[in-house]
Amino acid sequence: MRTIKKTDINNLYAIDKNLCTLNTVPGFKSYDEKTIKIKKDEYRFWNPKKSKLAAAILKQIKGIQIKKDDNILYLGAASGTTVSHISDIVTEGFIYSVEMSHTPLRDLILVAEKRRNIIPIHGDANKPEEYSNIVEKCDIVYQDIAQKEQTKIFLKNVLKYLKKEGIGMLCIKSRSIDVVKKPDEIYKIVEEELKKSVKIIDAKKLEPFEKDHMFFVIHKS
Amino acid sequence: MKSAVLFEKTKSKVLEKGELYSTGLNNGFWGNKTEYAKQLNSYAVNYAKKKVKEATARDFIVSKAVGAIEGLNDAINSYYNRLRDLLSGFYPEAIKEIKSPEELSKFFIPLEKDIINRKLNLYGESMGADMNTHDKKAVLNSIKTLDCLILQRKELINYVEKEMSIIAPNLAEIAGGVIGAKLMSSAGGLENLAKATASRIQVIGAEKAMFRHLKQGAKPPKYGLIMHHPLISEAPREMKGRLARTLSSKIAICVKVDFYSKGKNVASDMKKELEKRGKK
Repeated sequence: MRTIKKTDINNLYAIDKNLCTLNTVPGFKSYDEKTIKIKKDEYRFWNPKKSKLAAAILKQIKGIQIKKDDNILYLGAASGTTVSHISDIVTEGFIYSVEMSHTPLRDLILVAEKRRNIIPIHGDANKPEEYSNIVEKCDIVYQDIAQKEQTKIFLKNVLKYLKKEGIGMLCIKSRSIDVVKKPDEIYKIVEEELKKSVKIIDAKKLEPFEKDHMFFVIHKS
Repeated sequence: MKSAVLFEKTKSKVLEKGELYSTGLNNGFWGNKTEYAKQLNSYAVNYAKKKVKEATARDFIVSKAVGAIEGLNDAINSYYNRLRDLLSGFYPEAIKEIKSPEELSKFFIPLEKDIINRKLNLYGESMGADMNTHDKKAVLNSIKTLDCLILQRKELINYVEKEMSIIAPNLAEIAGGVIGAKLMSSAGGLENLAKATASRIQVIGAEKAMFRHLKQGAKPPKYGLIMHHPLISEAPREMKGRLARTLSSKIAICVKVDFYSKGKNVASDMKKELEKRGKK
C-alpha cells in the first residue's frame, strides 16, 4: 500500500518518499515523467535529478513557500520541466516563463498550450524591460540560468519585478561562472553580492542531486 | 483578439499584481479570471510561436543539413570499412585495389567469380572463401545500400550548395557552399558569422588547438574549417598559413556584404585576386 502524505505546499504530495504533484491536466504528460493513478487522481513524479527546485525542497531549504495564488517570474524556463510542476502548484496564479533560446522554447510552448497558467516569453533575462508588457509584480522570482553574470541578472529582475516581502530563489551553477575557481569561493562571492541588496534566508548545496550547485533563498524587504 | 491592445505596449513602470486584470475588467475585455488567463496565455503562446518561427530562418535549416552531411560521412566511412572487412574474407586480393567507398561497387558489381578474377589478373585460384548464393545476396544488398548512402550524400551536398547560393551568394562563391555552410553552422547563424572577425573565421573548427595555444602556450593553429578549401589544401606547405589568412579576410568581407547589403556581388573580383595570389 502506498502512503500519501500532504505537504505544506498546495498540490504537492509525498508518495513513498517521492515528491509528486497532483496533475491539473490529467492524461497529459509535460515531459517523459512517470505518473501514478491513485483513486481518481493522477500524480506526476517530480524527479530531483531533473529539477533543481525539487532537489531544494528535498534538501529542506528554509523559506520556500509557494501559495496557490502566487505569481512567479521564472527565468531560464528551458523546456518546461520544473515549470510544469509549478503550474500544478499555483493553480490560481501565473508563471511567467522567460527563455532566450528558441530550441527549448518550442517544447515550452507545447506545454503552455495545455497549461493555461504558463505564460511563455521569448526574451533575454538580462534585459528585464523587454517583457514589462505582460509581467506584473510577482510574489516569487526564480532563476536557474547557466550564465556568467547569473547574480547580476537575478538582482536586476528582483529589483524590478519582485514585490515587497517577496521571495527570490536563485540556483547558482558554479561551473558556469568560473570553471577554474573552487565552487566554495564562488558561493562566497555570490553571497557577498546578494547581501548588498537583499536578505538571505537560507542557502544549501544541492548535492547529491546536482554537482557544484548552490540554492539561495532570499527575502526582499 | 481585442485584448491584445492591453498586452502589446511595454510599460515604463511595472504594474502591480492584478492591475492588468482590473483594467481589462473595467474595459470589458474579460468577465472573470479564467477568461483573463485564457486570453493572456493565448496571446503569449501566439507571440512566442511567432518568435520561434522567425528564428527558424533558412540559415538554421542549412546548418542542420550540413550536420546531416557530416553524419552521412561518418556512416559511409564506418559502413565501408566493415564491408571491406567482410569482402576480404572472399577476395583478399581485391582489397588492395579498393581505396574509396565509391570503388567498392565498381569492383564487385557484377558479382561473378570469373569477371572479378579477370579484373584482378589472378595467378591461379583466389585464396578467399567460396561464395554461395546466400553470401552473394547479402553482399550485393550491402553494397547497394552503401551506394544509396553515397548518392544521398551527393544530393544533400547539391541541396546545400543551391541553398547557400541563395542565402549567402558571395560566401558560397568564395568559400564553396559546403564550407560556407559549415562556417555558418559553427558560428551559429549568418548574423554571427557576419559579426565575426577574419582572424576568428580563420580558426573556426580549430577550437581545441586554439585553446591549447591560449592556455598552454602551444603553437597557434594556422587554419580550421577552411583548410578543406582547394586554395589551401592544394597549396605548398609553407604557403598554407599565409593563404589561410588571406582567404579568411576575404570570407569575412563577403559574409558582411551578404548579411548587411544583400544583392551586391563582390566575390568574383576577390576570387580572381585570390587565384593570383595562390599562383605566386
